[in-house]
Amino acid sequence: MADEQPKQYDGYLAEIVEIQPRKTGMFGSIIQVMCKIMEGKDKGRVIRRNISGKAKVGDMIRLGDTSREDKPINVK
Amino acid sequence: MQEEKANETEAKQPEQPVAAAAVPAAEPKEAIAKPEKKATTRRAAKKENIAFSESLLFGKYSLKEVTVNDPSLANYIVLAPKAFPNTYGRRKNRVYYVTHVNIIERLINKLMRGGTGAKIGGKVIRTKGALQGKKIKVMHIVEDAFEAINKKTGKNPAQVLVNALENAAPIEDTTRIRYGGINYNVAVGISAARRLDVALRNMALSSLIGAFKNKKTLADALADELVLAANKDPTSYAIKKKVELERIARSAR
Repeated sequence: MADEQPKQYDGYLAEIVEIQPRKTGMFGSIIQVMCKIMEGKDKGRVIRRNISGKAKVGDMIRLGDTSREDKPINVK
Repeated sequence: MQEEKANETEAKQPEQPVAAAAVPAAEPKEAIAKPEKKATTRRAAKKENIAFSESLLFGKYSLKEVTVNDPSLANYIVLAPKAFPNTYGRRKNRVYYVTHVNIIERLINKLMRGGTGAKIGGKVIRTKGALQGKKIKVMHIVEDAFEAINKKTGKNPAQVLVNALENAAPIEDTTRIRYGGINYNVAVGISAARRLDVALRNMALSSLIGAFKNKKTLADALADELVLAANKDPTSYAIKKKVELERIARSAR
């Protein structure tokens, strides 16, 4: 229960540092955030990722992999 | 304070004191009257003139000792002590209203639905409005389910619920993006709020499916699902859905 090992869930923890003002996706449901990785070999790096759902600065998310980075949204 | 502590110790094994209260007739009544008896509703407490603890969930389970291990979900799982979790929809349609609503009330709200909506296993399940808008009815179902969990595992059912949610929350999803007339499926992350939403929805759906055209009651189906998901059992519906979602997302990276 409470006294289990800390690494028991999948993915790597990351904290949201900044939220881009533009939305993306077919229905505008995806937002782009800059997040700071807290676990794993890329610890401390800040990367740009697309996420679905509502988020605010300071939230923690879990990333499946930390190696790739998403493209910035280009505004026409 | 002493009364509260006594109630909390009772909360771990609620079926014992009922049996124990009937047996000791020779002992003085006043000494055993308060700690032995317990009331499960406010009305029953008023009738028999017994103290009813407002800080325990359903008058039985304490929410203070429940811990959330996943720091991602910790901000969104609300465990404020409350006997009957109901806000009467006061904060609805406000931004981040979910951060003020108790986690057990959110489970109740997800269960108040008319069916599964889409086809699952070749058929659409409809409850014909048996649960829609009936919050008190669903609250009793959840109370029964929590009692069943306590009998099965001996743990605090609120802790079992939190563990199940942590195990059943997905971390990756896919979305559709269009480049020059061709659709691509692209993997995206999921925010903390949405992870919890998906996990809660899958729990509610699985209990509806388990009780449909079956001898099992809705409470028993919910209890089974929560215990399975808390143990990371792959036969659980919510865990199955999570694994499937992540497998598709992994191939679309």
